[in-house]
Amino acid sequence: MRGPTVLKAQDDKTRSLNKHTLMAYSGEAGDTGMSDVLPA
Amino acid sequence: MYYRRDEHSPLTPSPVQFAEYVQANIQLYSKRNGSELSPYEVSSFVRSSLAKSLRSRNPYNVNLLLGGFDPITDKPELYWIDYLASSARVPYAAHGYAQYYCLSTLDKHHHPDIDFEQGMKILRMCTDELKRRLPIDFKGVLVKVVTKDGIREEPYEDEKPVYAP
Repeated sequence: MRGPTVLKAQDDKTRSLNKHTLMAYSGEAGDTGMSDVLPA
Repeated sequence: MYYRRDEHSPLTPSPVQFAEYVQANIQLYSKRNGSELSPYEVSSFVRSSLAKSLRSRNPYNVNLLLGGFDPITDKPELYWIDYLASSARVPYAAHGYAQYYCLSTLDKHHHPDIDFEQGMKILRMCTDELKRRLPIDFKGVLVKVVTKDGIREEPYEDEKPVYAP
């Protein structure tokens, strides 16, 4: 769907904690990455 | 020496900071004690870090999904940890806005003994649903797979056409 907000596609919101464990994180809407939402 | 967060910062710390803080502390813990933590142990470690932060002046407002593979029991595990530091083991999960669109699909199609290919098919159903319904220009996903050999990135075609039902 097209919309006024565009999500950055190549943003890795995961960190590997050890060889066999991966953690995905999310915060408040639009607050997680350094620049989550780009202007359209 | 223990990795500590800056408790005097006036701003709410970002989820990225929490992730890197926990990552460093888990590596430190494993080095000190000479043992790799199992996914369950990692989940307890993360939960307790978040619980401590929750009772501080500026807690992290972060929701987490923790996926892991236990090489001893030879089983995959997934933990849902929310910002109030409650942890639950779940068979499948989604978070953020995606959960409103994906959980019903996962609920219908997930089965405990599906293989990798079937899992990718279900993921395709989820991203199709996001493209159809999420009122945001959804560009695609980054797919990571946790196996007994480690963590790898899985190539995923984001530009595949989506058909209306």
